[in-house]
Amino acid sequence: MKPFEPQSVLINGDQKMQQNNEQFENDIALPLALSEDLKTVFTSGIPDHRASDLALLRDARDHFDKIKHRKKRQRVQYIGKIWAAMLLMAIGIYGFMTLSSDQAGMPVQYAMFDIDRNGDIDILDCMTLAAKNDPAAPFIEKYDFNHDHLFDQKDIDMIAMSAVTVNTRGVMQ
Amino acid sequence: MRKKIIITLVGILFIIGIVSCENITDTHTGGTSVVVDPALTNNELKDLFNKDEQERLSALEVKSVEANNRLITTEEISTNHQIPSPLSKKLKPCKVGSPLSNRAKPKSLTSLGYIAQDEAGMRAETAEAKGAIEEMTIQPFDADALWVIAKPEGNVYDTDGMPTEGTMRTKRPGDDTQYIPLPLKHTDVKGHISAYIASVDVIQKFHNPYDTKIEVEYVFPLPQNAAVNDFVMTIGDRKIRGIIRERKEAEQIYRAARKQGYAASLLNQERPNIFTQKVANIEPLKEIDIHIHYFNTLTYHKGWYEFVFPMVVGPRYNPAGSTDGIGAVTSGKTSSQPVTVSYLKPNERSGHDIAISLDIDAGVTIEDIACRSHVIEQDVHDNRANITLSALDSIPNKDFVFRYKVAGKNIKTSVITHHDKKGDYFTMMLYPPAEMRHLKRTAMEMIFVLDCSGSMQGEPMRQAKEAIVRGLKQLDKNDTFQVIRFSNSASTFGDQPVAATPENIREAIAYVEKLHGSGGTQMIEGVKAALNFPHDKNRLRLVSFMTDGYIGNEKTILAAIDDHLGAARIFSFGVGSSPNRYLMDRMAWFGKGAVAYFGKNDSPTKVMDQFYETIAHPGITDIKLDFGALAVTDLFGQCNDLFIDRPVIIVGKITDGHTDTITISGRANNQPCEYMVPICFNKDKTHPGVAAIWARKKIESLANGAIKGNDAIEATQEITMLALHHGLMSKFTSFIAVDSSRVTAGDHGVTINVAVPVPDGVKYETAVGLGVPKS
Amino acid sequence: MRRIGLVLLFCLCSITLSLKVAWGDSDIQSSASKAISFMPMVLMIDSGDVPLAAYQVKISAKQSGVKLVGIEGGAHKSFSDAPYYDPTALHQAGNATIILAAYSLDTHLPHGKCRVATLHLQVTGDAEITPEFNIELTVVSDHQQQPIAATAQLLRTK
Repeated sequence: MKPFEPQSVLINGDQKMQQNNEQFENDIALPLALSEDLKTVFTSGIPDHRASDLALLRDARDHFDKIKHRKKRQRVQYIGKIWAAMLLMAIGIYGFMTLSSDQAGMPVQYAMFDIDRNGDIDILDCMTLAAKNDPAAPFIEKYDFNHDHLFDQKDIDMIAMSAVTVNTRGVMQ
Repeated sequence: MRKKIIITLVGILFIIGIVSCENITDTHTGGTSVVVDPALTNNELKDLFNKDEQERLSALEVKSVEANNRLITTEEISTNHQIPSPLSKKLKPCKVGSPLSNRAKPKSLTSLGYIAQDEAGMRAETAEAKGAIEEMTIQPFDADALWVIAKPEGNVYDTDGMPTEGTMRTKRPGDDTQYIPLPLKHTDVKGHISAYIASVDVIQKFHNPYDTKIEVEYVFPLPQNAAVNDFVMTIGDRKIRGIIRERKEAEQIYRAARKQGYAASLLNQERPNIFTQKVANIEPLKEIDIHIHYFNTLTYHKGWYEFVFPMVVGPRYNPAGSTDGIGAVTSGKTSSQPVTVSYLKPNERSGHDIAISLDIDAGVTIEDIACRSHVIEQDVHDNRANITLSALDSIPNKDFVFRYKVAGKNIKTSVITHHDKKGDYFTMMLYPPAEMRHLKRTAMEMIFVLDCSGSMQGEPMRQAKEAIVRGLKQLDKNDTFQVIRFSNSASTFGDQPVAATPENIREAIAYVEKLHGSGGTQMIEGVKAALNFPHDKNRLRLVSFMTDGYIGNEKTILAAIDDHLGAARIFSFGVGSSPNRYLMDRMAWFGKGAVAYFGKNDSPTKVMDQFYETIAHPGITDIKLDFGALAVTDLFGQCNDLFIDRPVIIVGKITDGHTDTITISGRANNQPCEYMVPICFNKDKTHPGVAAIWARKKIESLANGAIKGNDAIEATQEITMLALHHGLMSKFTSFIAVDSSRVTAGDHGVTINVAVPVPDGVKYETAVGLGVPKS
Repeated sequence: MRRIGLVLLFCLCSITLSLKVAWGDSDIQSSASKAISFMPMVLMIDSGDVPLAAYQVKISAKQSGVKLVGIEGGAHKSFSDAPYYDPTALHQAGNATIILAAYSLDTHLPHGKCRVATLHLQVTGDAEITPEFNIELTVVSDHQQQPIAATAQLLRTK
């Protein structure tokens, strides 16, 4: 077997590889496995740094772009949340003011004033109660709303005042 | 970060702007439904406030009375400092029966023998075991909580001996030769009393006897704590309900209606107890009835409830230069004051009579009734009574004073609540122990101040002198005293208070006996003389004012008392049949003392004895109330001290919570003590008078604040808003009713002041000025 | 950014305040310059053939310058008393509305078109122009508290 004698190193590396490959192929004594391995080693070549670098750079750029977009997105989301919160707060305040003042103006819906049990206090409750007001009849304590131990026009007037109370914002606003 | 903050702030302001614009839009755009003009703006209210009144109020040298009317805690007593008082606070819960382990048990009222151990619902515990109880601010002046020592008890018949003639007569305007019936024909008073709240309807019947249209102006009194909430004008068969409006607005409406020939009526409040009723364009021979409704609370004294209906305004003295007083002149004349009361001469009769009926539901058995001012007819059954003024005694020249006694000597608590759209309100009456006579009497520095003005001449002066003489004789050897007289100026018995030796007392009695009534009523001189000298720290200074209170500048007097009171206590004694209760009560309130009245037929000796008996045995002092889990606010009532026969009456608003007991803590005989009082807040029972009474008290406290110059403009606005919100009369709100259905014929006619008789016992010649003829 | 924020802030405050002042002032000026007159407006309810026993009506004016100075009952003796109303409603800012209500237990009740109440008004402005109102008849019933068909009107009388 002829010892391997490298050719001149000044030749281009690829050309050199080619020559070496041919030499090995011509050498009958080398085991095929080794030959194949060596081929593999010598034909794998030097990695393309530029491509990989570019790929890496691309990856990195994509990565940082994503981060940047994420930050921007986060910022937008953050501002959006603030505005949404303020909007909700405004709606809440407005609603609270409207509702609470409405509630301040709401007539007190006493179940005891709803004589006809229709779920509303109106002049008909007065009329129903007035129809029950019989001076000759025994005293009906549950209708003595002002607890003066009398069931009389004053108790009916209390229902009437509740019936004509307007459900609007109060003067004390 | 900075950007975020700015963005957030801008956003919030933007939203606030939107919401504000929304409110303005509702008020002013034409598309909304508006029955009447929108509520007056703050600027309009300020413009409407009288500039002159602003200057007067700002000229008063006053200080806040918050310190004088604040409750003082036991901690304050021990450390001798005062804690600033907020407007209201929620009181901390107080558990009933909390253990007293690890704490020393001080003497309680039970151990001292004041109350029985098994007295229902009551037991004494140490105040310290409950921890700090938050302070509760009580607003200034409350007529119900005012300490009243004595009431007038007059004879049943008119003492001048003249029977009622049953005729109506007056002099025609501009014609002194002819007598013609008076416009005010009759007054009808119907009252219903439930517990201690009275609901009263007053109907005034005006009649035009002339052949031309007339306008009537009638100045009349109502109880000083009356909350007027309804007004109806009746013309023939037609009833027109009046509308409550801001006063200036109501007066403008009235003037416009009067000028255009419409029948109109206007009800103004001049003082808390004096009202002016004007009725315009009463056609010839026609009648117009005015129906007024009010609520008020009764006072309580030694087991007796008292209902008072005042009938006449006493002639007031107005110092020279005063322009805010109440003029008193002969019939047909006018005065320089904005409000004038015309008085009939002694030989004249008004023909105006009055009818009074009361329907009483005491809730407990009525033990006794009494009415010494008038003849009454009565019908009493268990806890109900019907009272009617006798037709024999219907001349309205003295106050109607009616009392009834309820059963029971144990401490009772009465709670009444009311709930409506304006909120939850309650009123509560806490009674003191029946017997607290174990406590010692402290040495006193007694200052007697006697009004020697012209209006006091006669019976009032005699009574006042007798009371002072009795008071001098009751002094203890450890006491000192001074006697001060005032009319146009003030002078004193001695240069300074002298010891109560028999010799000094004899000399003082001789000095008092020589005093007589003449001149004006410069009460401010008396106040200054009584309070403007060094206080003896070893003695309790008590200043007793004997006066009829017939002045027109109450505000100045009250402000001066508040300014100079210091550690003194003022007790005002109202003499005569119709003293100025408004002034008398407030002198006692701001003076942290008490008031007593005696009519011309009362025994001054008896009244002074009652006075000494009451002040000699103080009960529980420095009271604090703990409402437990019940949140209350805007409380009114005096509960600094709890004396014998002097209940604590509180009215307030409930904001939240519920409780079954109220804890009263304080000091008795210099020992801390505590009561637990069971109460029942039953929301199913309600009384509309409670809300009106609360609003009335709130208005009064705001007005008292204005007297002291505490932002008068703001007080005016707040009073106006509150009164309109509750539909109540006040100094800044009035009732107006106009019949716009027809224009009466002729011009607006002659204005006639309804003349009234001089109060019973007051001398016409010295009390009523000549005035100037009406143009 | 900061400057922008401050400028925005200033603008918003100015706009809000000026709006409030401007609308307030215009309201005062317009009231002061007009004449005052009084007029009654009658509330008529037409219940047809069915006797009217109770009514409840909500009323609000469509314009400003109208003040209520009295409330009177109706022509028929069943409704001769002034109706119930809430006095505090007249002093509410914004949508001020009143509710009038009355009932009668009389055996002889009115039917057809009847006057149940009169509103006495003070009007600022041209007396020839009749103010307009929104009327809502919320309750109207017969003597057995049963609802009936009816209409309500506010009419000006001479």
